Amino acid sequence: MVRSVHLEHRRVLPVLTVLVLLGSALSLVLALTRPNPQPPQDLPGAATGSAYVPPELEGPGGPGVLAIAEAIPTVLGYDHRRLDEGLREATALMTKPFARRFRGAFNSSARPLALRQLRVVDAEVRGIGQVRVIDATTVLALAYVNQLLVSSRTQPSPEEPTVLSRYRILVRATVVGTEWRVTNISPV
Amino acid sequence: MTSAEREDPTAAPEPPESPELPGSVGWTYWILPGVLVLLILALAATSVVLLRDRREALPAETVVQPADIGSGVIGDAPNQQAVARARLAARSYFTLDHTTVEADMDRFRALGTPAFVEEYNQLMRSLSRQVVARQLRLEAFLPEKGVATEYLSVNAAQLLVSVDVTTSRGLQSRTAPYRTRVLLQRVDDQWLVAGVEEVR
Repeated sequence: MVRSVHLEHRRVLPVLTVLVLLGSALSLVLALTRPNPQPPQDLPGAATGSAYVPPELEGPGGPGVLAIAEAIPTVLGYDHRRLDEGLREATALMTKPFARRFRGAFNSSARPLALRQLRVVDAEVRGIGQVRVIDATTVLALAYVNQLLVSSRTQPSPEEPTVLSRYRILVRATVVGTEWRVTNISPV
Repeated sequence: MTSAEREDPTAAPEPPESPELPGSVGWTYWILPGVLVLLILALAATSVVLLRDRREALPAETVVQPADIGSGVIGDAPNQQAVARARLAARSYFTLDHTTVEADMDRFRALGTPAFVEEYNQLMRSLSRQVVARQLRLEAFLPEKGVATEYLSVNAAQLLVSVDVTTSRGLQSRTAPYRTRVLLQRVDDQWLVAGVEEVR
């Protein structure tokens, strides 16, 4: 009887040891190849060195945010050689009351500076998102915008544009007819 | 024992010290097989959990509607929680006091994915030393309406968070505006920070 238990013991131990080793190997392989969820690689702003691609957000505010992103380069950029034309293009993207205010501010600050320093300034969106949807036709967005000095009297053709300012701005837009129009821009 | 007793062939033998008979199998004999069986059970359970984990595929990368931040108190919906988590992450990231630097960093670590916490630890190694050595106090303030949703899906979120950071040393202080982008990942029904970057 005792001898048979000994024999049993001797047979069982290697089997159990092999099972433990197999189980360890299986667990290790499963743990090492465990799916690791990663955020998508093509999120807005993820690509370095290329132009920012604004997001297409779900919901009623999405088209408004996209329209703001498209308007910002025209609204905040200017070229001393075509100031009137640029201003006309910019104000065409605004509601009439805001266009009036913007024209006043532009003529008193940006225009004299542009003419004096022969400035060409680009505005580049570096990030934009939805803050809130005020109603079905009005959206508020936060935008990170860089104003780049492309050329000026002192630097007529620089190798790289210089960053003039890094803005955080709140832009409000509303639907007029079938188009989104900028109704306000304010700093954060 | 006397010599008479030693010679007495009828004297009863002393009982063995162990209650087991020589050559018998005691309970200690089964410890090793028992431990091995327990190990096999534990490994089997682990494998089952890992296999189930693998079968539960991630939800498809479905974009969802961002929270309307201006609509009042932030609730429990994932889109609102993303905003709350991004705010907390940005505030914690930029808040460091030379007297409590380790606790401040732990507060941020508790919000991050393991991969990002590792990245954060490397980034903070020299920065935390500077904060202590120069006795700095960094405090973050979030301006009103300074947070926006840039991307939101069931798995991931990306938010823009404007932060004003006041750096103080003794009686001197200065405030600088920052533009940050906070990347969040949905893990087990909660948002974890997978990245914080300054937008230049």
